[in-house]
Amino acid sequence: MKRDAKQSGDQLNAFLKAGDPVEPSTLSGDGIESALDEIGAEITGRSRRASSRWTRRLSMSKPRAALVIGFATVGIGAAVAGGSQLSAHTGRFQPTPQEIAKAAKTSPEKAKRLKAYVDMGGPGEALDPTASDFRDVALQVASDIRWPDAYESWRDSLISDEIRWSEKGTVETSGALHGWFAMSAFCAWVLDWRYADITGDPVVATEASKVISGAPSWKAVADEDPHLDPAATGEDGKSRASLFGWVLPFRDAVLAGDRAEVEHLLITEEHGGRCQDYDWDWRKLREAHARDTAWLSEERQHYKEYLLERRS
Amino acid sequence: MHPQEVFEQLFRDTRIDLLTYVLRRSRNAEDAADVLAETYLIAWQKLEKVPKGDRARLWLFGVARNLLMKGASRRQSGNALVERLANELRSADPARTPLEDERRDALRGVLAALSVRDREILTMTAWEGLTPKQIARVMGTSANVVRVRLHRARARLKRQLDPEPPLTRCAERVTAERDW
Repeated sequence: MKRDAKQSGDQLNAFLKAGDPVEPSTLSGDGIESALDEIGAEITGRSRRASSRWTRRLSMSKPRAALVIGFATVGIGAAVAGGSQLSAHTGRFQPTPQEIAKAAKTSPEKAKRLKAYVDMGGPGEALDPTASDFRDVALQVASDIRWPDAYESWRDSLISDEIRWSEKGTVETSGALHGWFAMSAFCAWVLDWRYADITGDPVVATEASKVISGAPSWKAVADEDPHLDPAATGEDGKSRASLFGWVLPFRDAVLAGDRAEVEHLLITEEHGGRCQDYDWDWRKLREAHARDTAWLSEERQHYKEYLLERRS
Repeated sequence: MHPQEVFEQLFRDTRIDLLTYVLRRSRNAEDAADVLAETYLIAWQKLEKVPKGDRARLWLFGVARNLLMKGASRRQSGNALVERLANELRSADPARTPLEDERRDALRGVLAALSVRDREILTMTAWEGLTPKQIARVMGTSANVVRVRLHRARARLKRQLDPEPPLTRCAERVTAERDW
């Protein structure tokens, strides 16, 4: 499965690579090399203490929001214009299923395009994570999702992570954010079930398994992925990816009371599940070793040990 | 080693990679030349902070990234050396051939709905061949976050490619031609 995922990733990379706007081999000509030499010589001729910039820069009246490519302003992919955003609510929404259906009657191509926006960016409103009220808005988005008591902090950690990552010009749909919360909560319930199973706490285990069994029909899940498919990583590299397909093997293992399988899924992250990434204690541990190549080379083993320690 | 020798070595080892990086993300040759010069000037002034080995390249990418994000414009700078590099770049015409425009348009269409940072991670993976750990160094975050984002962005990209016949055909054609 890992190999299939890699194969699929390689194919996507090939597609992206084909869209590379620059042909690197054209950059090694004598003219360019010579111009670069002159710039290098000019730089080393300057004082290293100088604070002056290479050129006098003028701020553009509207900062360039798209860093990677100057994309056309289409749908939700359009970046928020520069300037402070008073609220995370932008008032811009992805096409609804009704709008897509309506478009299909007159223009199938337009309907496909609208659907693609939703598939790529998620449903709902474009939210600005740099806005001062983003945390409040995110909490509203998460209001229908419940974490186990011991994992309540995961919700805030996720929001903080989104804010930490935010950059002016970035938008995130409420549907995509809702999905992140759902993934986080689902993983928390899986871990909660596991601990309850280890400690022999049937009340907690039963509650957790009940929540887990209902996860495929959570609104956050159904909105983004109405047809869960755990094989979506693709045997042939072409099958449709399923954002939440990995939920099903976890659910089945929990309902079967198969703790070993749950731990196997947690450790291997088969089917695309990424519960390790929502476990903030584990993330802290991993980040503490971010520059320790020996530790990182044994990361899976360390995670196994981490899980074992969590038995006590 | 003398600072000048250190810088010259750094400049020789990384300049084409950095030029390619900024060209891919700039609106035009002038902006790319300007960001490249500014990046190396910062490296020269902060040479002690530039890491060794391959991490130096990532550090430079990070500086250039910040400059690009600030949306700086060189329009009124008129530096002769920057102009010369820009002219050379225009002459070399590093843009891919018109035949391939269709692919780039398809790619733009596919990526347009992704967030800026997800596009950034996808393209740094595909175009620069960077690993999540390397991308994390460029972006100043953790490899873990990059891995999550990459996974999610790929999943969305894949969903986009599979159900859309025109884009699927394009992707298959690209793969087939590359294999051939």
